[in-house]
Amino acid sequence: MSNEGTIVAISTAHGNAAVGIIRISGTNVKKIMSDYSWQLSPRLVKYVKLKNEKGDTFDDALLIFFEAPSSYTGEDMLEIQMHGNSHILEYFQKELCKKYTRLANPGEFTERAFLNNKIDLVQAEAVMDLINSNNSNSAVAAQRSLQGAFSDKISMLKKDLLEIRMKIEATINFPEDETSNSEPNDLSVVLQRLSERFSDIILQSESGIKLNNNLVVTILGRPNAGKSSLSNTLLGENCSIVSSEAGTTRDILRNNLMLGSNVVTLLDTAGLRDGKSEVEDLGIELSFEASSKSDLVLYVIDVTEGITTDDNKYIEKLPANCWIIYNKIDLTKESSKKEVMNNRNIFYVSALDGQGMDLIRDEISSLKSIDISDGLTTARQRHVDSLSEALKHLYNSIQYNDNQQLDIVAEELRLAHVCLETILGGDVSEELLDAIFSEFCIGK
Amino acid sequence: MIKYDVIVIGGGHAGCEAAHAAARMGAKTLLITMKNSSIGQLSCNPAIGGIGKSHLAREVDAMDGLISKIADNSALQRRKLNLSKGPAVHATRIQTCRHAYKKNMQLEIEQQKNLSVHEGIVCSLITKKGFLSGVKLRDGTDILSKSIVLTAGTFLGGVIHCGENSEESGRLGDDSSKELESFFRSMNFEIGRLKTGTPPRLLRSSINFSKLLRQDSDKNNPCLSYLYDHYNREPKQINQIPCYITSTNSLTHEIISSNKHLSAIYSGSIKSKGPRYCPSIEDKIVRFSDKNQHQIFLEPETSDNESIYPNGISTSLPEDIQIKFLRTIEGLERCEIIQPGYAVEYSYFNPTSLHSSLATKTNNNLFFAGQINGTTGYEEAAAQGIIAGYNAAALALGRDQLILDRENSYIGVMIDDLVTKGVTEPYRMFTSRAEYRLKLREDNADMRLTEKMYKLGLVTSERFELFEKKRDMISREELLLDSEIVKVNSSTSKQIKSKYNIEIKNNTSIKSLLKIPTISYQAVANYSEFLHEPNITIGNIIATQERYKGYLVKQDEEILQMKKTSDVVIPKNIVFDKIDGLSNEAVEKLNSIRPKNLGQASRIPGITPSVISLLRIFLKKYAA
Repeated sequence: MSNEGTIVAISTAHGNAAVGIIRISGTNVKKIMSDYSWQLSPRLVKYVKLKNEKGDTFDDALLIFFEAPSSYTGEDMLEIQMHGNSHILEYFQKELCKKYTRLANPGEFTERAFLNNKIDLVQAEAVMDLINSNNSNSAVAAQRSLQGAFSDKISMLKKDLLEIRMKIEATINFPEDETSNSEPNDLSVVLQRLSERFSDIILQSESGIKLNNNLVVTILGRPNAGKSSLSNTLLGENCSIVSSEAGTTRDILRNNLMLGSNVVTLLDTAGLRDGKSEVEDLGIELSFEASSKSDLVLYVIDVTEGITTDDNKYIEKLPANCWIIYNKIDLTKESSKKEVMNNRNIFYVSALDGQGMDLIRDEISSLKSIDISDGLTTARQRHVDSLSEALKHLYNSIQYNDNQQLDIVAEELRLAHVCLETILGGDVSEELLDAIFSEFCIGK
Repeated sequence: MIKYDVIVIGGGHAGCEAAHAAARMGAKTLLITMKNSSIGQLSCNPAIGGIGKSHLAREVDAMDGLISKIADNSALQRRKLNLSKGPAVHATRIQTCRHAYKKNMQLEIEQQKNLSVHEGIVCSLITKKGFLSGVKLRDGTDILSKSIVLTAGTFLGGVIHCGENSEESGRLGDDSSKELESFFRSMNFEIGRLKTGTPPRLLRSSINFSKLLRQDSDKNNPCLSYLYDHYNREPKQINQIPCYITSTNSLTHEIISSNKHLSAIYSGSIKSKGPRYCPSIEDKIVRFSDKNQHQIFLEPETSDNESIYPNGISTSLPEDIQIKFLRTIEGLERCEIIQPGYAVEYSYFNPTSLHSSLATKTNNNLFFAGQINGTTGYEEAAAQGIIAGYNAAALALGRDQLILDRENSYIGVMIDDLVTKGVTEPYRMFTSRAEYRLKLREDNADMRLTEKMYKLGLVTSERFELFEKKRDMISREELLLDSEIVKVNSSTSKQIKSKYNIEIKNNTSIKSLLKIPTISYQAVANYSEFLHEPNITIGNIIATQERYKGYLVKQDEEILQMKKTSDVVIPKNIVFDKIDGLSNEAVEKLNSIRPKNLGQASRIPGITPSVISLLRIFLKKYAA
């Protein structure tokens, strides 16, 4: 829940610029100032050099301190104007999060301002809109951050943590059932090993794992609307193919290409047709799942058949921005064109002879992917924060285990589990009970 | 006609606590039961307490409730569980004599001022101008009251299954309250079905105990009630009878496997869901087919020791199969069944239709407690009973409703879980459900609750004096322990170094030494620096406090931080549909639970932090 603790955010737009600003709000602001030996008077600008742990300067900055209640949020606030290098900004934000702050939720500065009576009622509606829109963006970003290897690794961590918890909690809650020897007798070793894996993954996520911040475009449509020819045409001509990897399922093909300055990941899906068989149902489900993680859907319709009620039904369900592509104009002798109807782009093209394909390419090239990659970095940082918090609890559990305090060990492991749930979602208590009851025959 | 303040329907564990609590509060209370002689009946296993459950029982006791002291006065065997796993999860369990338990309970009910008992079957509630004003009995009698507590247990639409036979009944030999169930159906409560089971009861003289593992009471005779383990009172003593342990074997499993189609569960006569932590022996064998034996605890049921409860083999197989498989088990080769095992299916109300006070959302003077809310267990029932009884009385007397929170009691954890998440399988307390397990211990329920409940009128002054005496003894002992200092390089400090490998670097009080989990009060009492008369009971309480102190101080800060947001009250008349930006799904969930504050809202499955943000902003606007 929000409104607790001290929050931090990089408040300038992502990407390199002349100046980048970090804002901090909350009770720890004064502690930060004293720990960094910054003697600041409210509302007076001060120039400082920012130093890392070894004492080396990594940037210089202008600081402005706003003392509560005379600040935007009504709390103590510190504004740090640095050079606009996103790596340096993120580095310093991370440093602050180690000891003093947590990352702000979307709209949280404004939310605090409202709750502390700093902005009036009329503005409240705007705050809600802001939280809402930011949340949907960040929801997409959070989901994107969780794709692929990163997510698999966290799920594995959770599975292993749950296994240890299951054993300990079973002996605590059901000592007279057939669980008595289930508590791992090399618990210290097991915990040590798990904490090492946590820190490995934290390290990898901070440096190694490449974020998937490409623009993701999914091609959907009924069978034989010409989806594959559309994707072949987009990939085949001009566009340098960056890479081609097998899709995660046999039903979705994934290719990367350059359009303008954007790296685009193109997902070619199975046809949408209300399931005659289970396999088809699954295919449709996958197609929708893919589109929910996309920035854009190209919905292909055979112009000779026209748009059907089924098409409209699918389009309505789509969570992402969707363009409609009327394909096969070579058959109807129409000319290629782009229209905008109800804020929706509509294209008339022929994937077969290439008519009108430039219109689509140009439109995709002009899309900005900045918003997404910005949100993505923050989302990943948030996940890494949760992992670090979980690791802290694992370290504590090792320490208490050395002291033979199983009940406190169990408590620390529960807290670590809670941290993972903030990434993956779920009900900590029910998950644990499910694990226990499926592993042990309980029922004295 | 007499008008009561509170009518309690049902004389089980929830009903007795509810009626007694309401009467303690000074409300004129009537307990209506189907059968006077069944009041306080232990329908299943005659044991009270155990992990999680003893935590609830201790809290009821700290509120001057009945369950713990009656268990102590009816005890056949007493044990303390989890002694090696840290004081927060220690748990007391009492094996009781079901006759003595019932007798003692009936005595308490009889002797309580303001409390009368009426034998009869309630078939509907009386409504006047949309307001509940009493109950109608099967014989046509109307009895009026200001509030009503329903604790019908498994009697609402109860059906008993044994093999292929089934009959309508809430408990073997008792009636089922069908009329009342259809009455509530007509009131549009969401009703579900659950299942539970019980094993056959065996004739003691037919069992050969000579080869079985014997389990006696613990030597120090642990007690459930503070009266007897902290307040220096003596419980009634009856015969001590041990338990014995045996187990099933491959022959047993073969018989059960080849006959499982005859069991009510596998023949399809039972469709409702039973608890995963209390499976029937049929279930155990099917689901854990790799296990070649399952433990059975042979527990005495009465002090005359006629009947044995074989814990671990509840079943709904036909009686002839039951005897067949039982006789394959060591010690039971010639056993006789007194009463066959059976399964019960019963109706429950989804507790999301309740407020945290246990009042129904549709009628603020109608309260539900116990098994009808989808819980299982005497302790769970008693804990809800005391809250429902208090609140029914408080409503009748014009006082505020009592709501316990998750931070201070297991009762609060349970009720919050029930009303926020609802129930799909019988709900039982586990210590893992509590976020603050290290704080909610068996040794401190009275410190958490007694004074507050005394001020609310639920705890008698006699009981409160006993509590105060204990609290004074703790403060005095703490002062002494604080003043007794172990010096650097003293012989004691060398002794500590050699025994625990802990270096005393500064002069340290004996009280601080107790922070070290391996050092017990008994151990420090032998040091030459320890100058006063030791009090083991009080000393152990202090040692436990000290051990968790550092950890809990940190946790309390977090609770305080969190409460700033979670305690923000959501007004009862809020219209969630009018809040901008909430998804339909969120509105639907909020409407069905109608959370009392932001904390509860955040625990509703599927409610995200951004929904909470939006709610908060709306509430702030609303307040302005």
